[in-house]
Amino acid sequence: MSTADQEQAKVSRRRLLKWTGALAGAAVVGVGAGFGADMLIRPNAPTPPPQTSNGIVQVYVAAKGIQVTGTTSSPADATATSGISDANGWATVVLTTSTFPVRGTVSATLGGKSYTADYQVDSVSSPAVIYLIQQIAPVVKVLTSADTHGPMKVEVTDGVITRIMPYDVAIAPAYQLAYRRRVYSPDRIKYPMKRVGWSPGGQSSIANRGKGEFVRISWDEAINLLVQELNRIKSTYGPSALCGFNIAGWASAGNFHAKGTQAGRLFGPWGGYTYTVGNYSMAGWQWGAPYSYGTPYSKPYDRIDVLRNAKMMIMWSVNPAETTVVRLEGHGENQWLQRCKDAGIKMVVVDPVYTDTVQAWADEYIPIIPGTDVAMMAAMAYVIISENLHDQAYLDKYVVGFDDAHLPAGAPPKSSFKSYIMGDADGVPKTPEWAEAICGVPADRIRSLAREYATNKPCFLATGRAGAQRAIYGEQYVRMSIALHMITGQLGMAGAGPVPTDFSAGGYGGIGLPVLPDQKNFGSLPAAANPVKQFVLQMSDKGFANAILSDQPITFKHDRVTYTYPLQGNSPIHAIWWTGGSSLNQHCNINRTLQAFMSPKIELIVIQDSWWTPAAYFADLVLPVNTTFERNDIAQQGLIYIAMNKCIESLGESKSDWEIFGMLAEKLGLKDQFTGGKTEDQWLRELFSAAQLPMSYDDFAKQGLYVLPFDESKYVPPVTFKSFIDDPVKNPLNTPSKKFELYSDRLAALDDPEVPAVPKYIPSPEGRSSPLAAKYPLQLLTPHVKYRRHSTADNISWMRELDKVNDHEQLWINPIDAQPRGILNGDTVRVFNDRGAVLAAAKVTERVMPGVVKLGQGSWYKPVRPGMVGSLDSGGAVNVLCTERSTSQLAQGPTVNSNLVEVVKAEGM
Amino acid sequence: MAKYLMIADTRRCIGCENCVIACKDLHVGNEFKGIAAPQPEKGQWWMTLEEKVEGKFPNVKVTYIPKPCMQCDNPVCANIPDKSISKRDDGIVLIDPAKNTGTMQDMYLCPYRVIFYNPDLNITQKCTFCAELLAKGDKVPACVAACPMGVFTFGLEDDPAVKAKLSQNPTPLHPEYGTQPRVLYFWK
Repeated sequence: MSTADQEQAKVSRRRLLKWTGALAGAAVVGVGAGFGADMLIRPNAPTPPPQTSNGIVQVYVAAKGIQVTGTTSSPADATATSGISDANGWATVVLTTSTFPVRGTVSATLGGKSYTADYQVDSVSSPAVIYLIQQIAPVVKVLTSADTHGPMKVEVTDGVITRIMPYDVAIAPAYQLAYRRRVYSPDRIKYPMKRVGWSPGGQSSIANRGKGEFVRISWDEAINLLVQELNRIKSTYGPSALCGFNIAGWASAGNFHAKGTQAGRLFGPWGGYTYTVGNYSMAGWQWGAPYSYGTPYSKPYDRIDVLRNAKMMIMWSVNPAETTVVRLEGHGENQWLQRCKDAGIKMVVVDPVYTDTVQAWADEYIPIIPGTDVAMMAAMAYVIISENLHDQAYLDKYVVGFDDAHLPAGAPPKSSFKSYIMGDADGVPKTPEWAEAICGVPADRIRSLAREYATNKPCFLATGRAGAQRAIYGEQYVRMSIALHMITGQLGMAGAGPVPTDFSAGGYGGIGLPVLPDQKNFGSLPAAANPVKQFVLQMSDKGFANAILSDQPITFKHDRVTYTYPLQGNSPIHAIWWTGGSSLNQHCNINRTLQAFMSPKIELIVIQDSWWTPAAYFADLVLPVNTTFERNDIAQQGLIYIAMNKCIESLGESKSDWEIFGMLAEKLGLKDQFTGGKTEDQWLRELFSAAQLPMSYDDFAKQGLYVLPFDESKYVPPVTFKSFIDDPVKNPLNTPSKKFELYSDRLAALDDPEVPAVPKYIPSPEGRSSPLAAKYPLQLLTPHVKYRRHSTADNISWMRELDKVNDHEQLWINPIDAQPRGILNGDTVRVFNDRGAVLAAAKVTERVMPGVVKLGQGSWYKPVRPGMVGSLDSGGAVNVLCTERSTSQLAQGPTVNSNLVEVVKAEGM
Repeated sequence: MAKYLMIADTRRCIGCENCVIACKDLHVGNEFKGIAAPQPEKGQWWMTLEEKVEGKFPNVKVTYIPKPCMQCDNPVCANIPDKSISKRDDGIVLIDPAKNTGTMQDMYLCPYRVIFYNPDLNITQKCTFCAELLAKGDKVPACVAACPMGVFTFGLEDDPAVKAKLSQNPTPLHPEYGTQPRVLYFWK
């Protein structure tokens, strides 16, 4: 049996060993300190029974109930009995003889194997003690490894992971502590697979795509098929026919086995590939915020700065208690929030749901109707301006477009931010009363929060980089929240933060973690250039699915530029290659994505992954990839450097992406370009050395974890935008005016009411008061939940047992909505709209606002009719329900928080 | 002899489930001879996180309550014919996996419902306060070690950290059961 099968079998290795009585508990060698040597267990022989005239042989066979037979070779008249071993593994063979010494053999069979040993008994009173079957103590090691959510101490017993423990310095989240059930999950892909009926050449029927009919093939065959297809695609269509769709997945834990980079290092030199553009997380920040302050989103806030300087904190559409554990520091951000609370920083939380963040820290909880945040913010601006709480001097000096006196040349009259807020232009003053009717927050509450925010400064404004901007017109949420910090003069103020607060990861030096001035980081595997310039949007009704399905060329806009697909000189997409991302599950409008997958235009789908994800069922070729536990890597987050040691051998025939792409590169004649002339080990040592840590690579691997010494008391935190504030001439911003812009003439030039020049509240077409609400009256929220990260960990059995009810994802619904629908807690319900339908388990709770239902994103799509577009999904995958309509032409971001649904009790389910 | 106590501060709990899963990971498929048989794959949660919701939206109060075996000083579960449950001098209540006969009476006697039946081994099982880890020199159970928020204080009752918490008067969950639990709480 393979070691993995051993782990999955009912009888654990430790259970087998219990027979011996010699094992009281595994000997655990210290953290990373080393590797247990083989230890032979030699328990003392029991006191022999008194003998009169015969000798005995005491035989240790390490198990109970084993028959031990004895033979004698001399003297001629000697005989030996057989004995059965006792609970301690000892058997007694009794000799009958007239003289000593007696010689012979003892033998036994255990586990199908035979053991024989010679003995000599010299007298009645001196038994021979024979260790016939030696018990080997389990080899137990504790190695450091990591995955995207934190480092782990991994206990490995006889080649099998037996325990996973967190590190104090970066405590990993619960689902990562359950990774034994991820690594050894029954849905690990073990072998290369080929869809039944598929063959190279582009002529195969696609009728059974998605139905999960596969045959196992060898690696040789898989590589040959792929090389054949790549050559054909290139010569028939050109390399741009290959789409490396979201080729990276969400994140690779380590700096070397970065899937996206590795894929690019093969396909770039091969000729290139059509890539995708978009940002699932924070499109509104990436392509909205620059129009306010010149950068996608600033350097992250600094936690020490906020802890020392902030007086209060507004957490708006963020839920760090459940969602922050997304990078290698695990719960670090939650620990810092607790420090803020303990330090007396007042914490206000604005959210339609009474989240775990509200539970943990909120001094004040403000429930708000989804999609109306910008209205409330506009009303806050109205209070601040009308009560003269804004910082006019700051606005005059640093900001363009606040009032009509400070508009750029050519801007129409009354087009300023202040004119919009005060109602000079549209006749609608954005008063708290106006906002209350829209957002459901009482006017007085809006008023008091606005006053407090503007006077109790610095107020750390944590609008999060996901949340409310993942909705139609999400760019407005981004720009309006920045606007609030501008009118109160808090951008560039110590303790106030630069908006957004990167609750949950950032790539910019580390999510708010201190970054020391002379700190050196690990290197990352260098990316290769992509000669192909054609791309498709990840999101939007002009996004990749619609691009593929369109028989005519399409044009689409992004960040003020218009593109075409196919791009001049490029081919439409005919092949899709995915490595390590579950984009089918995580992409808005699953049925639309499926239509694209099921198009005969797509001649080849390759999925390279470790598990049978929903996407893998739609592949033509499936390549098994190993996990972080099965290979070496290095990783870093802020001050924490982690050795991701290989803990176990690869399961089945799985290989790393490096090995897989390496095999392809060899056959394609691109080996040196792909590898850069270095082995994996050489790369790891080189990337390691860039950090200049005070130890060798080998010592680092043994040690497992290293934290740069950091004296918080001496730390001087950076404050983003402070240099601009101190000297706007010397440190201009990257905007046309070189200043902050409340009014953007670049956006004005678009002349699109969905992308106004100043941030505005625009009622959502899928909001509470939109016409569609008559048909689908419930607003669907699809946030992250603590049981997993996106779709990662949804296949971990222990997490499913915690999270699912009747194997369905839980839908939070208020009793006011459940009761008239006849829905009781735990009922199976059908959640649906025009885009599709899913099953879920109702959690009837007072924790969600009436009119709003919450279904955690990332649950795996599980169609009741596999391969059928429009099938009912029993997995509760939210993207069956989410629209692919994007935020707007500007950011083209996902709109997972602006969807309307109806919910009914599912009969007979 | 000084006895172990666990004090949980529900004011600091964020509901992350680390304690729940750390316990699960330690025990599923792993045996600790004389103390605990392996936990089965499904159905047993020796540490649970109870979600208590009071009030009506938006005036809601939510409390997360970590719930292991209470290691009661008056262990009503022990009153079963096979006499497989005993209380140690250090306060820990253990089910002897070799003696327990799986009649499930202990499961029904426990008012906190923290005893579970294992159909494969035909025994009942529960939280051991990680006696097996304490025996090899660990200072705290797996749940405590995995908590990021400092919810738990664990140790012998004469431990200064434990005494400091005791002086703030934590109270048990459901004191009316009368079992004198050794797990105490600070409530929101």
